[in-house]
Amino acid sequence: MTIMWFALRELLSRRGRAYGAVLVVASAVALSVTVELVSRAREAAIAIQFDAVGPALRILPAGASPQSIVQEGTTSPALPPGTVEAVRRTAGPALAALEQRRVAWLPVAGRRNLVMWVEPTSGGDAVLLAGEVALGPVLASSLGVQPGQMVEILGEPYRVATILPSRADADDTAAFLPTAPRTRVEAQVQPTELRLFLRPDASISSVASAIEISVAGISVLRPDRGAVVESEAQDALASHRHLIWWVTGIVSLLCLAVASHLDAQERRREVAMLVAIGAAGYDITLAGVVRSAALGAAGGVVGFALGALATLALDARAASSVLPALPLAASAIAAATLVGIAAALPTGAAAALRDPVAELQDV
Amino acid sequence: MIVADHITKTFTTDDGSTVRALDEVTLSVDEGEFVAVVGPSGSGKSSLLFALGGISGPDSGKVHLGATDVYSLGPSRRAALRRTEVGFVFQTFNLVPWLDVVDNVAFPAMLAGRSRREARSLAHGMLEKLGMVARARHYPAQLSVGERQRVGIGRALVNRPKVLLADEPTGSLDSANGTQFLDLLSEFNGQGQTIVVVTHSAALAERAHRIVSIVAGRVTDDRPGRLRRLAS
Ligand SMILES: Nc1ncnc2c1ncn2[C@@H]1O[C@H](COP(=O)(O)OP(=O)(O)OP(=O)(O)O)[C@@H](O)[C@H]1O
Ligand SMILES: [Mg+2]
Repeated sequence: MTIMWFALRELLSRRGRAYGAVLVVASAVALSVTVELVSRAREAAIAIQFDAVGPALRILPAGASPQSIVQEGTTSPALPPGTVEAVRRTAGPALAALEQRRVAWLPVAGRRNLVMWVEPTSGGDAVLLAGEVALGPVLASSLGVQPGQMVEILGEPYRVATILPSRADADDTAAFLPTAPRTRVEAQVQPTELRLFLRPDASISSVASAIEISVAGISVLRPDRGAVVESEAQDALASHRHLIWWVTGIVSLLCLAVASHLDAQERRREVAMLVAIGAAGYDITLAGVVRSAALGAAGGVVGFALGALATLALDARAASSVLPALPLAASAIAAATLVGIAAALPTGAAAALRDPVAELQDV
Repeated sequence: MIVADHITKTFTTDDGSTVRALDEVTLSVDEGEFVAVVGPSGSGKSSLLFALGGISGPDSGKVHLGATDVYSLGPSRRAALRRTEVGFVFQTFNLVPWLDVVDNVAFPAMLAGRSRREARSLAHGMLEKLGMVARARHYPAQLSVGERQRVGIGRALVNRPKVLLADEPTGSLDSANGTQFLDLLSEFNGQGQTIVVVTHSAALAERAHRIVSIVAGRVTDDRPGRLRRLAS
């Protein structure tokens, strides 16, 4: 008890020296916390987007029952005439969400693939006519088709209007179908386009299963708010966040270990004095450990605060993910404290074993 | 009270040569005695004091404090002995700069297991004897060197040790402060405190009951000081 009091009193009085160590730990924790919180926020935001999309439409004969209409599954790009109106009549305003869906997983030429509906007038893109399809280059080459040839999608023949230039993203493996004018619906809210991005070399099924496990790597384009485009680098950062935790943990450990080693060198006199007035080896070790643990804990607290602020600055969506992250804060602080303890144990023990006589000679 | 029995201490320096700091030193200090240890620099005075105080054991020979064979104790028992049976005063005070005067004096009492309250009230009592109550809330840096050494004595004595060991306690003091400090030691000695003090100053040594001279690790002289002469 006494020795803890002693060590903490010192920390409080010699703040200057402590700042450096706290700052190192704080930056490490802040980095980890930021990555963690931004990742969580992105996942949450994407999950919300998915939830808002609602189930896909399914092609059914006009007048089908609402239960069979509103079903998880795939939808045809060209709904039979009157379908939307029929669905609206029967399912009512709840369909607003359904109508926002612009993307689905569809079998294209026997494979499940990503299909996106594009408005024939959508900005800048080549206009597709009814019965035409635009193919991403990867999909086109895997299908072995050229512009002008026919492909079958959902049992319907489509003419390949164009093969898009490579964009090195998911569009390369996608098929683009025009929204038939008669299927356009007046959305009650701004239409939201959901685009699923995948690496050109990724197989569709691997992406599909990846989406079930984690939504990292998915981007959301929201025309009403502007594009929120996540870079590949951020994706990598997010998906390696456990690695980041480990790396920053080890970096902090090393920094604190060096700090407590330098500290122990500087304190040889203090240690000698403690020995002379009757401190046991255990006390000497404890003094170093308490100090380092306190530095670690302070670094954890400051780091979490900095990380939370950085998260808010980086990503407005993350605001809602900061408060629920209190368990994260607790574990970050606990981890930083443990790192502090671990860092000081070896030097503390060494200081306790050293013969104090040499130091006391010139005391 | 404290007996060193044929203690020898050898240091090996980095270049491999050995220095015999203590060579078969035998010394016995009675309870209530005030002993000064004098000798040229490097003669082994500090080494003797550390050996007597349980800080650094001799290579051979024994040290007894009361009935206890100091170096047969394990490290933690020996730490406890340093805490409660021995008080150390250093030339450069070695006060803890971030603790105020009361806490500096109270600290060994807290190490010995007393509550901070108890320890501080003991410390206050100590500061009264030292005439330092007015400076209780001050920090070492705010004190004169003479005052610092008084605090050093307070810290050494707060656990009422059997013996007070002081290694050139007046070395950092000017002669006026040095004399005052010696007065203080005499006063505590008058109250029965056993004291062993290492000093370079022959004049200060004369204030002791006994003056032990050490040269090259050996006791070369052991004669009464002025205090004993006056008393007898
Ligand atoms: N840790 C050590 N390593 C090597 N040699 C040492 C060590 N401590 C002391 N010595 C040597 O032992 C001898 C006695 O040292 P000691 O400090 O006891 O002398 P001293 O009488 O106290 O000297 P001074 O009056 O200068 O304080 C010296 O020659 C010193 O160099
Ligand atoms: Mg000396």
